[in-house]
Amino acid sequence: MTSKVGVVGIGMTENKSRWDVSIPALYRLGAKSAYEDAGLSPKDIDAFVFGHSPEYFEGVNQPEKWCGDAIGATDKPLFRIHTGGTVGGSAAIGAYYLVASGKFDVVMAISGNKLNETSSAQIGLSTVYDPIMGRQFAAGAPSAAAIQAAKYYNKHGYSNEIGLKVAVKNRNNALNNPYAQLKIPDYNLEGAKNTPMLCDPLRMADMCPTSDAVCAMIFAKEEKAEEITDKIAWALGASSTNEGLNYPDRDWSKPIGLRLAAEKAYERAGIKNPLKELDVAEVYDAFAPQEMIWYEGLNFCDWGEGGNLLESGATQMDGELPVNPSGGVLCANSIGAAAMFRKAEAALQVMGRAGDRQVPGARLSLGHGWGGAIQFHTVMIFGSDKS
Amino acid sequence: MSRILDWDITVPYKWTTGSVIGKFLGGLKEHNILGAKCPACKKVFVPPQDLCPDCYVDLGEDDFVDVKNEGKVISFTKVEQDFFGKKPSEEYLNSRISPASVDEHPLLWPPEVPYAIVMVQLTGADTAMVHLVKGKDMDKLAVGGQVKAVFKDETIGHIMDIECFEVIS
Repeated sequence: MTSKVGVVGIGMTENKSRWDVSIPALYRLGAKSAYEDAGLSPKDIDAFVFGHSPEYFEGVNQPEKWCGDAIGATDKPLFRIHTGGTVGGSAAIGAYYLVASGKFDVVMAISGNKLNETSSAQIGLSTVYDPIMGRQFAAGAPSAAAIQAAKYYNKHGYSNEIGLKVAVKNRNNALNNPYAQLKIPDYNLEGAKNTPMLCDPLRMADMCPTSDAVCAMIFAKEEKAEEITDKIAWALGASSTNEGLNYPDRDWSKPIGLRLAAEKAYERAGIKNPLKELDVAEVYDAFAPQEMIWYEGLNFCDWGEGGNLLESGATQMDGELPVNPSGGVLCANSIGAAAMFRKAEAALQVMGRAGDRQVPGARLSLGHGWGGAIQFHTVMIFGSDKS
Repeated sequence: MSRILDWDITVPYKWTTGSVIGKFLGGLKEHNILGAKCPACKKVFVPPQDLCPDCYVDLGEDDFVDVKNEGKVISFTKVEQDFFGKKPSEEYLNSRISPASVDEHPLLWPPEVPYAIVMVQLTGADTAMVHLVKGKDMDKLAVGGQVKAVFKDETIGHIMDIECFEVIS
């Protein structure tokens, strides 16, 4: 029997381009925001889990060396985790597991990037593909997402423009999120349709922005958590998977790896019908069509029904299961922090502290992360109640 | 006042293919596309890999089978936006004895937009490989359509020995 673990503090920096701070200073802002939120200081933290996406983005190798002091980890255990775009989710899960193991009482997960420090994030992303026969065909991340979207649309007969409806939903949600980067008043389908085609079927409107941001979460064991605060997001279940890349019978538009991660997380949290039981979800919509594909992977609906679930309005703010009240990755993508923002937003919702983007009465939430071409998925479930 | 420092990092690397991919690339030099067949589940991997992740069985140089140079399109995207900025000039690229960085490697730099990235399942293979379709052929691309590999005249044992795929139906 592992002990109960709660989130007691959340730190966020606004997603935008920042020429005012260095990489460690941005991490310091994220950490400081979490310390202030929890009413804690570095001396209260027993260990740190540090996330950052590929070094190629900023040309800084081993950033945990540069940033350790900035997050308050001097003379403390520090673990680096690295799983591409999922890294923020993997770091959060890592911190949760460290506390659940009973070896540490209070652990900070922190993850981020200053993506604007690269000359082209897409060149960095192309080097994620293998050098022998991958990079030759890599137009950054959009090419893989476009191939995935094209497969999805073709297989299920959805219009190439249905993804733009995800973009409209999430961009309007982002207007309520002070930490989002893209906040475009009156964002509508007509405008989205008129954006240039980048990688068919993906238009500019299907794409996430380039952000600099850090997100942090402080996890504490049950007794400690209750000493620290009475607004706790209890971590009820977590899971992650690594899915095969060049793999027979695997279909990029049918994320079996995500389904497996979701089923494990639901089992741990005692969830049988996620669409009905969950009150809110934050999913990693780096490209608009992916949100519908992730609905299916997360078992909100059957395979092939993601587009229909979107069209039903169930995932709108006033729907049965609002998805991405924060605006999601489509409105803020630092990569390094993006998957942790999903978990942190999900936690804020069940704490009842999500401000203007709060889903009224949310008590059970899900945060998802995706990364590493199509490879990695993370899922965490948070509740207002301990079980 | 915050200041911005500019810096370029150029680091030469070598990447070892291992014997399985090495044999596949050697096949391309001879205008042949080879697959590796898992001795346990009999699935054929193209491009080959030295492990069947389903069976966790090693695949070796004895597990190669021939596959056709043509197959069906699983999915594709037409890339219309240049994500990479200015490509170095041909003169500059050709003047280099060995490419020093990803940006300067003539085989790693994507073609001029527009071009299409396609996932192709070759006849005889159970996995899809990724390659390019260019020019007018892009207009004929369709999921489920047939494409065929076009080899370069001069080959060196590299994935780009295949110039691109052409649409045959």
